[in-house]
Amino acid sequence: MSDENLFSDEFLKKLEILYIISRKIASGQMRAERRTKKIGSGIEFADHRNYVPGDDFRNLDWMIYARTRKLLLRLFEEEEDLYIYLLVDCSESMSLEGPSGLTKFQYAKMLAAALAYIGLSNLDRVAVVPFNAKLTGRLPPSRGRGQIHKIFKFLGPLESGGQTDIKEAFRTFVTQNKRRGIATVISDFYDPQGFQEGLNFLRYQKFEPIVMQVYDEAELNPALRGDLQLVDCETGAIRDVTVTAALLERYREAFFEYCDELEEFCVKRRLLYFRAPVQEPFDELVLRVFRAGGFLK
Amino acid sequence: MKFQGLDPQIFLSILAAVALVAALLYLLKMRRRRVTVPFSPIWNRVVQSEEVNRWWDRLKRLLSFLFALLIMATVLTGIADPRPEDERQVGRDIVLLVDTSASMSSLDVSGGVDRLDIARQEAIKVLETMGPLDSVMLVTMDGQLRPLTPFVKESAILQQQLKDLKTTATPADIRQAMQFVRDAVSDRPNAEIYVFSDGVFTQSFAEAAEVLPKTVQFKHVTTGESGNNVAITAFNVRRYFANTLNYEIFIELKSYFKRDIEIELKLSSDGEVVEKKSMTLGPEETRRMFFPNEGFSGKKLEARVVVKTADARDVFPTDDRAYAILPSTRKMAIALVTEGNLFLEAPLVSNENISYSTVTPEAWEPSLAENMDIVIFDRFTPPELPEQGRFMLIDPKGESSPWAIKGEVEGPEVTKTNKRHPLMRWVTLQDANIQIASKLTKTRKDEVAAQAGPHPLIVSRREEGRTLVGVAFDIRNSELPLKITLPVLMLNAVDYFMDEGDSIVPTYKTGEAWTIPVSKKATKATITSPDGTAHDVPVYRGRAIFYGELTGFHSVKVDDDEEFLVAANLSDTVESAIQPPEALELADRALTFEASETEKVKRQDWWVYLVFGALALLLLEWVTYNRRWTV
Repeated sequence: MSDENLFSDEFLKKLEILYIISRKIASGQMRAERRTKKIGSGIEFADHRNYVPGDDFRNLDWMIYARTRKLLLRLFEEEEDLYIYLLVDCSESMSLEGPSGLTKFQYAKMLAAALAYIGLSNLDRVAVVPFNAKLTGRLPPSRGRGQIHKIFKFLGPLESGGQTDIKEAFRTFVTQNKRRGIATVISDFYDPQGFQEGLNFLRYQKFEPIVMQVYDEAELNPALRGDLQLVDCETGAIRDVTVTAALLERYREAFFEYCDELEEFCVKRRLLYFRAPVQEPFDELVLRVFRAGGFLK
Repeated sequence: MKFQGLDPQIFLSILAAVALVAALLYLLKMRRRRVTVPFSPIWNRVVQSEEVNRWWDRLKRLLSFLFALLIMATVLTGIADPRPEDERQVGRDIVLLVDTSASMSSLDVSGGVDRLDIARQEAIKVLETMGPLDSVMLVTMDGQLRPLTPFVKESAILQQQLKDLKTTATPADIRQAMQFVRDAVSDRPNAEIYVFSDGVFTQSFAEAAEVLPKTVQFKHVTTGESGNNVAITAFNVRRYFANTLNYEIFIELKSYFKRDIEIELKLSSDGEVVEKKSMTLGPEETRRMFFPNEGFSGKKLEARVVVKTADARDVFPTDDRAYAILPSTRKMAIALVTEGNLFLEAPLVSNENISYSTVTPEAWEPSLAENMDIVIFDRFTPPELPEQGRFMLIDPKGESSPWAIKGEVEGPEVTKTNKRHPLMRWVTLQDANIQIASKLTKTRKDEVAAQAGPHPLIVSRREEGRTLVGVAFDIRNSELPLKITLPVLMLNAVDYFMDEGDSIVPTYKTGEAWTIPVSKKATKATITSPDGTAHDVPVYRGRAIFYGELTGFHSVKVDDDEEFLVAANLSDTVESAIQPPEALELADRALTFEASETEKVKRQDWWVYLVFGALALLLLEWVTYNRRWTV
């Protein structure tokens, strides 16, 4: 499938249906009332903390002071727009085409577009950040459903290439984006340096990562036999192997082991994790994301 | 063990070279197909876990190399064609000479149908002893010699040929066979000749075998056990000259039994038994018999002899039957061209087998001769004598006479008569008192029966299509009419004329070339044997030439119109003497032996097992090292 056809009218219709369904799933919530958990200068009380020099005296809880002689500062939830960052992996490994004719990169773009549409429809601020070993571009946060075409225009010409370095890319992302929000990472997570440090960067900087691991079933069951020289598409690393049925079985086990490692990492850290095979229709995956909660607040 | 295909040094050199090449190939790294994968670290994990098995992989590779060396060594050894040390280096050149003569159809054998069947079985036994280097030739021997194959190594080819062999009713020509064998093995020092025969030959075997070199291995496989046989050794029938309505039959019987034997002789005409006679033949007795004045109808006459003694068995059926063709019976047609001569008419009238008519010289036409057996010209010489026919000219005159006349002689005295001439049988001319006779000029074709001085008085001539008898005087001018001589002379003349005709139909003998008279204008003839086989045979000067091998009636068809029968019999007293000799003698050696005495040479083709071994090793190598598929 060519990238120009990714965001057709048919695709838009699907997005509209997804949006309606998402409204049902998030029923009871008010428009523009989605709040971050940021504690700050809002109206609604959230918590107390000890006073430190420099704090605004106006926020001291004098009633507490009167009873206990302790200086405690009243904290309020700060009401602000939700920022959704869509971090799309555009490394070389995402471009390998399987028997389905759909690359992981194309799938990731469709997924990003769908999530962006839902976000924009909820009046959230949606930014798209493609990355490989670094950030390869940035669509600044925008708001309102009308911005979806801007996102399509940004995603459409995106091309994949280069190596993956999640840690370095996310370090740059965190530095460049001070406003915290949901960081939806759409990637195959094929990073030789590992994915942990990169995700931790997001966590430590108060982003809420949602992990969407994209893969192709063909990667799971490669049609390989015999004496081969395997070349890594990103690093160019070469490995001589003799592929047998037993070796393939062990490869499958190793693949799942890798996926499980990522899932375990996310679950332990209460991060939303989704496994997204390209063979699964993207709208079904989006619904799965909605049902899991977290994306729609 | 020895190598027949390769010299040991060459074998070792090739083996070393091949091993070196194999080692180099194993040292070279196989170029692997490159495949791009999205994330090699996962593969690295898998392959690293395989590292623990690397020593086994290396061992398998080493094993594969050793297997490859072993496979190549096995194949090379196969090519070198190893043989046991004691196996013969040089093959034999075997000649299987199988007797298919008449006597080989004798039934005095156990374990087979006839002697040929036993010979066939023994020949197959010899074939089974053949080694890989041996070659064999199959030759049959009867009246003719037939090499059925050249020297071949594939004995299976000969087995079918042996099964198809049939006997013929001809005697074996052992002399021709020995000469052929001598020529066939002249440049083959390891020749072995096997003769499968009952040893019944019409020629001396010892003399025939003298042509063979002394170094040739010669073995005779005998067959046959008995000589009990009663044969019809001669059989024919003729029509009487004078009495053309009746036949006289001659038959000769020969018993080869060592005791008295009761037999029954049957004569059949066109399948109907017309005469039956029982008799007793003494030990090895030959009996000749005539059956005079037999009257038959039909064309074919068959004689059959059957042994009636209860405990005796005739084991050779081929000579128990004999065949003959009956000459046609009819009255002779004679025309007498004369002004009138009762002396001549009297002997013709008195013979009931003669139908005669008189014609005046004026009424004579050459076409009259076409329907006549004999034409007698009395004192009349036709201006032109027909080209075909039998003519008697009494006192010929003029230039049209077949004999040139040079005057007359008065009172010729008969000075010489040819007693052997058929015309002169029981005839005397001493007191004929001939008054005057013509001086006939004798030619080379003429045979003088009687003469007066240098002048022939009675002369005969046989020439192409025509028979002539000339009498140089008018019988009325002699005393012959007053004597018995005239009717006797006339009847002799009739017999003389008819002797060359169809009073007897020749019976042919098998094993000889038959020259069957056919029309002189004939260009081709087809002879159909009693077994139904048709043979196109050449015709040369009015005779069809055919080598007959079967007894019985043969049909001869000439130029697709004329068709007649001829009969053929074995008629060979030697071939009918079927008692096999104790042993054949060659110089001072007895030759009879059993084929099973021949040492069986096993085929030691080890290369076949080596090829199978190489295949097994290849399979083992594939299982241990190469058991995988590439996509």
